[in-house]
Amino acid sequence: MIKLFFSIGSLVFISSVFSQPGLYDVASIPEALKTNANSVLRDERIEFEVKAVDKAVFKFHQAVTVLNEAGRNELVFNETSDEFQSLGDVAIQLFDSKGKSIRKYSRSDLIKQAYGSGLVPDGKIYYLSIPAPEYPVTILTDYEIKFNSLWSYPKYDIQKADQSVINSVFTVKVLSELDLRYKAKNTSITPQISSDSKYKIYTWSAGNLEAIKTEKGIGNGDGLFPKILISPNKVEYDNYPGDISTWKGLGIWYNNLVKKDNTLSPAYSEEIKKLTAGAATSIEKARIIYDYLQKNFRYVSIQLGIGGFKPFSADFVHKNKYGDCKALSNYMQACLNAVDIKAYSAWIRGSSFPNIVDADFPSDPFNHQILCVPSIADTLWLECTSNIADFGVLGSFTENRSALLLTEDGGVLINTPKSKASGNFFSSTSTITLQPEGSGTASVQLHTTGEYKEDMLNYVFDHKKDDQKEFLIESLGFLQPDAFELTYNKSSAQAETNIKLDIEKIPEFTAGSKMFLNPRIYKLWTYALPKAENRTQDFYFANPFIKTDTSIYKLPEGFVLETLPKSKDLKFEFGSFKSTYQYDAANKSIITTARLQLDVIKIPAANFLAAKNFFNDVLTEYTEKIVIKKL
Amino acid sequence: MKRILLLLLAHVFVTSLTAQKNLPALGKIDKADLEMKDCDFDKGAVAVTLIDWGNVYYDRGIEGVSFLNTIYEKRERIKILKESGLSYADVSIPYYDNNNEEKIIKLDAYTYNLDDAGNIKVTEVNKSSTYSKRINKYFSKMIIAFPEVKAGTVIEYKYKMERKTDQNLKSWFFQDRIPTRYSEYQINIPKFYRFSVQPTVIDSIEVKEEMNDELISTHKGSLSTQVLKKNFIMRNLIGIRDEPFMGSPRDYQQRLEFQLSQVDYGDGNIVDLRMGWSDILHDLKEDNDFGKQLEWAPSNTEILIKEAAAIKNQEARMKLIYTYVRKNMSWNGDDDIYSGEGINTAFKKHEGSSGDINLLLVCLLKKANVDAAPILLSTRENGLVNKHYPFLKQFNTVMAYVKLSDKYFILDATDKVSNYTLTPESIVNTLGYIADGEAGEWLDIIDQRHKYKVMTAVHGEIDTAGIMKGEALVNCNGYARKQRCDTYLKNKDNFKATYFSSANTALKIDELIVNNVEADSLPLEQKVKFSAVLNSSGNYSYFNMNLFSDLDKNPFVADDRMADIDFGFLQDFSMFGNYTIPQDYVFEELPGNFSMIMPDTSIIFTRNIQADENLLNVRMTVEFKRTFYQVSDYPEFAAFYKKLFAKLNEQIVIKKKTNL
Repeated sequence: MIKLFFSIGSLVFISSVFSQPGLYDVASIPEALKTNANSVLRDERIEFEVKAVDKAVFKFHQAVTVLNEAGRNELVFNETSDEFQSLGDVAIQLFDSKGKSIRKYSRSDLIKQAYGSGLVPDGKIYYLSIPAPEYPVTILTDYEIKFNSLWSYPKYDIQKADQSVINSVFTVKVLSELDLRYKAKNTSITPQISSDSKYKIYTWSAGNLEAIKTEKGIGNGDGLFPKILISPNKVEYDNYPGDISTWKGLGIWYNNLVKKDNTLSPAYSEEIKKLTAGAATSIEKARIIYDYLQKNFRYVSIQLGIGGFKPFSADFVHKNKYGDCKALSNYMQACLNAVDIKAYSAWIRGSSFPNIVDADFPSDPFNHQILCVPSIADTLWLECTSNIADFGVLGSFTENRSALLLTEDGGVLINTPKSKASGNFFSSTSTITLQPEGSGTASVQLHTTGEYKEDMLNYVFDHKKDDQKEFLIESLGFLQPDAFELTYNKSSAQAETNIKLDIEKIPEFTAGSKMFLNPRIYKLWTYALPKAENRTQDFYFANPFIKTDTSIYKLPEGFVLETLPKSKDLKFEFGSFKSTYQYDAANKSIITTARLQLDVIKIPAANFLAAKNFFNDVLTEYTEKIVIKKL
Repeated sequence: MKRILLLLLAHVFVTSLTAQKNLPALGKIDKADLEMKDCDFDKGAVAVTLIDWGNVYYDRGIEGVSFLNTIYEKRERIKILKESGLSYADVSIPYYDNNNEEKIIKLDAYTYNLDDAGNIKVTEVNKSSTYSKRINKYFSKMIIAFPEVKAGTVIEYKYKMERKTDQNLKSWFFQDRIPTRYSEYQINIPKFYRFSVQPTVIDSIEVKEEMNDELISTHKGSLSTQVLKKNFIMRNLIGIRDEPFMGSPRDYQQRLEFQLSQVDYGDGNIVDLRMGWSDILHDLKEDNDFGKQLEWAPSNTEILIKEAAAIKNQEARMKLIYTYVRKNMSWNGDDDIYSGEGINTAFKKHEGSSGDINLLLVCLLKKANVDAAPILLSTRENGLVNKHYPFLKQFNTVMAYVKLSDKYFILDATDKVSNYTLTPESIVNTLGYIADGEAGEWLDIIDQRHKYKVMTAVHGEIDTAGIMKGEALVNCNGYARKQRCDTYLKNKDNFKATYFSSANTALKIDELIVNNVEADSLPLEQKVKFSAVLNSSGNYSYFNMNLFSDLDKNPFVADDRMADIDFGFLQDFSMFGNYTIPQDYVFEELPGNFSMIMPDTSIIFTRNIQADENLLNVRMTVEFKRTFYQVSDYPEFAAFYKKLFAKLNEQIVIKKKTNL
């Protein structure tokens, strides 16, 4: 019986292939759509049908031609499944370049695996990575997902990076009484809207889109690719209904859903009060509690409870001293409450730039939670999952973007502060004593804040000596030392670090009686920006910064200065570099200074060439040499 | 008295029943361990395993499944030394859950801290902090989120696992990523079972044994027998690190692996289960997923076989089939010694594991009357094979071994870019077992013919504005060709960034043409047009002669090293440069001709520099005569490398002529 079904199935299949000869023949792709493309979206039809506030079906049909290995991701099937959404039938077919069907896969070929970001995974993932027999190859994918709880709708990603589009249609059929909201991003296409007695039907169509080649350093890439954001007005998740058409409503629904247990028991509350008893001001109290949190608690991600929404109670966190971002920020909030300081949890999209939250379009693109204390120092922000972040300082993962405060009256969207160049500070002072044959010793003192301090804490302090050596050489560009001693003060605000190095060869090179010395024994800047010709996309740095250096070379006996590089004073719209070189004949010393500053993280495409040239000049400065010679 | 067969190679001393210092009980801890700030035998470690203890014994089996079950007890006590070691308190214990084959029947866990007053605080981990989670069809995980963990904390857990097997003893790893202070494995084996043990042990190990009379319950009642109790103890083992060119980290993990070798049913009735390679080979030949696969060629290969068989020259015949298989089969990324799919199905689907694809290759070769056999291998990533221990699971892949009158080939049809004469990169410098004949044959896999070879020729002209314009030709052969082709096919932009954009920003690549990617018998030819602004200071300008050489950065800067250095293949670099400078410039004193050689003559570096008026000729070569260096050679090796890179990067200084 089973066998019979099989043969009928394959007969049907064969006839369908014959009836559409070469439907996926690669030759039929217009040349223009192959330019800059790693893959071509041949045909896509996606339907999302909302049958009730908590019931929906997602039907996916897509044919993509993968042109080369760089487009390989398209050959990976990857869908998650949990108690609120389930994967139905799956059919995958591969076609060769002539459009001939060469392989087929079904749901039973998928690998099923527990999936989640943390220690304890919550969902399941269905996964299949299909080896490419050769390129080009076309993959046709059909599957269906059923939802029995909804808190968001799928967005319509019209075009991915390095992919051109021949034809794509996205339809949402939604109960008229529920309706939906949508917003077009980076595109002007509008839906066709129709309705019947029960449903409203939105249809977006796109086609003939040439590939957008991504340039380097574009951050998260939001702002480049056309897409339609789609969001429900009304939701129901795990039987909790809500109206999320406003930020306020989204907050109310979430508060209602998780009903977080956010009060410390009297005994625990007393502990916190005792801890802060000596502190006079709110900010001091907050600082003490934050310090206590950083020293005693750790981040453990456990994605259990209503699809990962529900955090551990404050008491649980206090007792066990671990939690994920939600649990730890809720706990911090509870501790502050215990000493009468009001604080709010805030949802945020932790990522590179730009900010992807659209203030005009209430929805949930968030993936992280931090804490906001409005009453302290013109609003204090706390990252509660880091054991090393400075008090009240948000790093490049969360600064300068929208955050949704979860207040007792629901959600309120506000911005996190923008970090300043002075918040990421690196300073180095070195004295190098040269010997006549070129060897020498150096004594270096570093002070750092912000991202540079985190680097020191993450990669240098407490690390094995060879790891420290690797950091000095690879990340800071130090000359390879033969021996070194590194000491640090972990509790100093600027992570003060002292390094003594023995170096066999200080000059970059020698020529006869001359030594050619670098302006300093490490590199203040090492990154060459990507190519600048015809740049069309904005470029993002991780953070603004200030770096300063003072280096003193003590010349060996019998040597005098021959040449000093010229001092520099370079500027571009968003940064500056200044260097000086002096010879102190009386003390037989050369003193060099440098200061590099970048004020912003975003370099608009139009300014990129200037930025590239500026940083190239900074790199070139290091290649200039101080020439000293033996008398 | 019958004894369990235990073979140990390394420094073993067997103590009889000397009194041992007992391990601290679960829930009890020395204050000194909580006060400890650093690991005294592995300074700077983020965490250290204080106690790692395992115990195996036999217990009542399940009718129709196993005569006896094994019980595996494991206890681990870990000290968190630094914040960066906090993740070692996120413990997850995988177990084979398919048909309840393994079951965790008891779990206890504790956190130990010092409170503010300096008193020991012991917290028992309660149920709300442990989770059991199914991972896939076969495995589940027991997860423990230890409470109250910070730098300085000690955590400990102990579990008991019931295993529905009497024949499979868990391997024991004494050594891991973090250092281990004390590691002990105790096995209790009834005398009717005999296990052979494969030790990978370098440091000293203490072994104790005693024979006791015991009662073991079975599903049919209880059994009185003698039980051999054996303890293996190691102490103060450093953590395994990742180091450049180390082969497999696993090779450095000291461990014991076991295999049931005999069952003694009494009255002299001893059944041998695993004796030697020839027995294994015999079974393999009969195995449906191995030997049986070689019997029939898949349908639709008749024409190919006929066409191949018509070719007189054996090498050409072999090449035809090899080319066909690698062109028509895509590799799914899995390594296997078996054809799990069967070569017939794999051939129909045009995809499979290395086992599917290479057994297909062997089968087709044999059908075309080429003298081919499967060769079992362990990839460099998987680790070394010990031929004294006949354990099949040491191998993780299979390839085709072809013997012609005067030479042999090892063919891997999952590799799309290498020439067929190149010994596959993933297994060069390893040991293979040719699964052929009665006893098989061992083969030391080396490649004498091919090297990692990079030849660079640069021509540069410097103008009066201090700009060098030039062309370069880079030819890569052998393993260098293979690596660059892989990178190129994956992503062309990345290829350019990896090999042709150095840290030297003043250098601009105006054009890059890559030839012969598909022509695997030719060198990979890379033609470059470049321009560079010379660096300058005062009257001096200077440039680096080490352009596009593949020798940018010294990978051996660490002072300490744990692993041997295994390049896998010989290396050969040569750089030819000729540079012209403007007529009104002169060369400042040039770096001299120079050569140096490793004390054992295994690496030779030469540098010849000649200036003639305004023309400079440079020739630099680095030639390796060894592929492998023991860790004891590291100090002089690292010193050589340091000097090598200093010499490679010396610069040429030019200066404008001064008017007299």
